Order: sequence, then structure tokens, then C-alpha cells
Amino acid sequence: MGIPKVEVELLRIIVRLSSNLLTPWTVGESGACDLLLVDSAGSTDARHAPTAPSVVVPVVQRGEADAAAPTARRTLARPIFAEELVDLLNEMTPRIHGTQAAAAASVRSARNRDRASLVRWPAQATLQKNPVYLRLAAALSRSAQSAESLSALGRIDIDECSTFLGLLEQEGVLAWSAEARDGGNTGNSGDIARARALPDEAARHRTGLLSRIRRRLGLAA
Amino acid sequence: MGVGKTTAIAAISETPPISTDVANADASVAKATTTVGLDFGELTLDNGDRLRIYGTPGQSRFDFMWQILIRDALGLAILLDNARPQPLDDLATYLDGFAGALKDMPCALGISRCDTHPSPSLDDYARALQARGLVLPIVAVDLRKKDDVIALIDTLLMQIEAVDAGAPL
Repeated sequence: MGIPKVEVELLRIIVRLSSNLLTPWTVGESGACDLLLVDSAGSTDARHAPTAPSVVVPVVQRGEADAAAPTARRTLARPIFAEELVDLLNEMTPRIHGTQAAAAASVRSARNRDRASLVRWPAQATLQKNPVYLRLAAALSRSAQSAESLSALGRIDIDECSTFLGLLEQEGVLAWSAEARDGGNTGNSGDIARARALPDEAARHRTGLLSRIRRRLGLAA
Repeated sequence: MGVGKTTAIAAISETPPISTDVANADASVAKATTTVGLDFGELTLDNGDRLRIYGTPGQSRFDFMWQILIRDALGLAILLDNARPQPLDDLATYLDGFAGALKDMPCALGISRCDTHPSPSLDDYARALQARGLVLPIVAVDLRKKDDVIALIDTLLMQIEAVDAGAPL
């Protein structure tokens, strides 16, 4: 290990005791580097995302920083001073959080676009006698849908659709569709042919008919 | 038989349902009359079109009618009475009878009298469907309540709209 144990403990104490850090940091172990400092304020999703942001900071002898890192690359000089470490971590925080937010948004966005369908009608414990969940499950019973498409279909908040998909996934009644992820179709070719065969005019007529039925029954159109 | 399809149609039809009930000869069902032809109700839509709602006889000897009424239907609701001796057997009868239509027609199960007869549970129905490779909405309904009947129809509409939206199974 390139960093002596005593320095690891010093770093651990500094990040634990410093009141000047903008966000809480923790010291962890990692096989990929001598020591891993983690900004604990980020979301778990973002940290585990393939694009989770990281910054490599070489530890160099004081006065050798320029030789070790001739470019503008940031270094940490030893002996390690608490103020310098805190400044370094605070300097990293905005960069990391900006990237983390983008990574988390990317993960959420990808999940919202992933399509799935039911392989079994959900347990009542999952449906929770929630009429919105009932409608969403009905849509998923015969088609592969994403949180985004469910939201548009049922005029339901996308977060609620996403939450419900999460509950279904937890119950193990979803089959995720890689092909449908790009908006393509999967499964029964008869249905696909039927859907694709609907000419524009027929599709408009059908959509209009369904809307009128909804209005007549007092359902959200 | 006796599940309440005439009642269900009456709950949403704008005209009293036209029924072809006759005296009940089945001692296992405590009702004076039962449908041997069909029930018929309708709703007029805002452009003058009419949505027709048909109830078909539940007894399997009338299954020839099922095939006639299912033609060109938008969807199918199978109503099951949980107070019957073997509701899952009843379900099997209907699934067999409508097997052809179920391949691509939106369908939902409405289970009545779950409050007084909780077994089989709705989850039991889900397992029975799963064993046949089917995923259909299963809804506990009180067919006397308009809202329950409409909620059941809503699950059919959601299926139709989901398929039309472009990613059917």
C-alpha cells in the first residue's frame, strides 16, 4: 500500500472531525487505489452508476508536486495538512455533485424509458387497492410499457408510474424488454400486426371512440 | 350463473337492460330466474354512436353464443361469483370457452361476493391464470355498484389503449 497506515488514520480523523467540509466524506478501502474518499452526500444510485464520478489525486512529497504532476492535476502533499485536505475535498464537491446529479438523472431517465410487461397479475399486497395501480397493471398486462409511456397513457405522474414499476419488480412479476426499450415491439406477432395494420384514419377513429367511451362513463379521457 | 351480469349491465346502461330470463331450474343457485338468451344494454356516445353491452349466459351449454357475441367486441369481462362452490372451475370453463378470443382480445375478471366469500382469493385467481400463461386484470367487484362496473371497464380500456400505443405483447 502506497499510503502508510498512520496517514490513512490521519485522513480518516480529518474528514471525521473537520467542521469546514461542505459535504460529509468517508474514508473507505478500494482495490483500485490506495485509499478511497467518498462524498457521502451523493445518492446511492449515482455512486453505483457506471459513470459515477471520481477524481484521482496523487499523494506526493511536499515540494515535489510540480515534478510529479506537471500539468494542472491536483495533488495532495505530505506531510498532510488538515486545511489542505479540506480545501481539496471542498474543491471537488461541486464537480462531483454536478456529475453525480447528471449520472443519477441518467439512471432515472434510462429506467423511465425501459419497457416491461407483466408475467403474472400482481398480488393484492402490491396493488394495495390503489385504483391507479390497477389501471397501470391493466396496461402492463397486455403490452410492454415504460414509466414514461405509462405516464402518457394513463395521464399519471411519472414518479408514481416509476414507483409502481419498482413494486412490481420487487414482487418479481415483470419481464423487462430489451427490444422494446427502443420503442420497438415484442412478443405476439398477431397483435403487432394488428396494431401496425391500423391505418391512420382507423387509428384516429379508434382513439376517438375510446375517448368518447371514457367521457360517457365519466372516466378521465 | 347468478353472478349478476344483468345487474352489472343495468348499473351502466342508459336504458333498462333487455333480458331473456326464464325460471331457474338449477337448484344449486338460489334465484328465481336466470338468463338463457342474453342481456343487452347500451350507452349513447357524444357523437351519436352507441356502445352495446352484452351479457351472455354463464352455463357452458350456451357456449355457442359466446362465440357469436365475441365477434368484433372491443373487450370481454368475465364475471365470477366467489360464492359458487368451485369458482376456479368456473373460471377454467370460461377460459376454455373463450380461449381463441383471449389470444388478442382485452379481457378482465370481475370477482363478486369476495366480501362474504374471501376464498379463493384474488391471488388464487392470479395463480390459476398464470398456470395457463395468462395475465388478466382481476378486480373485486360489487356489480350493483356503478363505480365498480366502470372500474372493470376501465381496465379493458387501458389494455386497448396500451396495445394501440404501440408495444403490444
